[in-house]
Amino acid sequence: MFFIKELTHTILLHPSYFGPRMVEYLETKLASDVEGTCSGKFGYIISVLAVIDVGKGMVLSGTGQAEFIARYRAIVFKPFKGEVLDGVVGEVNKMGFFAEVGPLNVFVSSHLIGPDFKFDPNSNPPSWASDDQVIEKNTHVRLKIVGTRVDATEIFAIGTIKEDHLGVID
Amino acid sequence: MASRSRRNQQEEEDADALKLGYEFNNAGCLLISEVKYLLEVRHTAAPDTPVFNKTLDYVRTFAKFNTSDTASAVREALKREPALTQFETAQIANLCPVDAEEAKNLIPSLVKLEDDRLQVLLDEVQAMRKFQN
Repeated sequence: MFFIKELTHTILLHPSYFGPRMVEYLETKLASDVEGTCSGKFGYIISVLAVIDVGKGMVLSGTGQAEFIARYRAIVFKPFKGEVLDGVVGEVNKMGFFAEVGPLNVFVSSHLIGPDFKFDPNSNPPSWASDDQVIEKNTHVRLKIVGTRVDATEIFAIGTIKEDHLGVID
Repeated sequence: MASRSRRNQQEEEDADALKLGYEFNNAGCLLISEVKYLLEVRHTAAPDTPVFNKTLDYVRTFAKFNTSDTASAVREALKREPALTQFETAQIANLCPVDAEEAKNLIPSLVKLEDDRLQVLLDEVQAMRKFQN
């Protein structure tokens, strides 16, 4: 699910930037620091929409750098267990296939594809095929997240298409 | 200790029961169509990160409503049902289920609504999707 969320980010600023264009610099630095990052708590930070407040800079003793705690609003993407999502099939192999849901890769294992589908190693590109449906690279599928594993900088998800109303979509 | 409490929090997250965890229970959900609009508006200074580019591709592929007007009309229509949470509203608009049975399969927390009332909403969303320009 995509969310709009208020977040904070701490920026350390070198004294050489103290001056008239400081706020502008802070805003650019904020965007380049956080956009494209991923954390387990907030998911993927896709785009900063607005900087609400860069905060009051606090000069740290010892280094002379200033610490700003900026508040901003951003679009974030975080998958949840039990959520149904549409995705595009990426890599397909005999263990299952990967579906790309925006920045997130979801693995659908052969056990969760369903008994109707058989892996066809001779097809090009490789595919999972049933009597009337084929899953290969770039097929659109609707899947349900059964679990997520969170790493410091990435989220991994496992999905299933073995339920009613899930599977290949046009 | 800290790691254990974090693990507990993780286990509590379950979209079936509308549990999104402390940080997201009250966060605003966005429709895919709205994300598309927001990303395209700022496209002048778009960051060149894989996360941004993949998301842009994704929302262009799966946006169900191609103008921001239609997206807000859908939001208005779904707002008339007070029992719907933000998450359910966004899921209905993103997945566009055709009938009440499909909707309840995809979004299990919708069992609280009667089929007839849900069907009216779904029909309305389908109609808006069909007649958008």
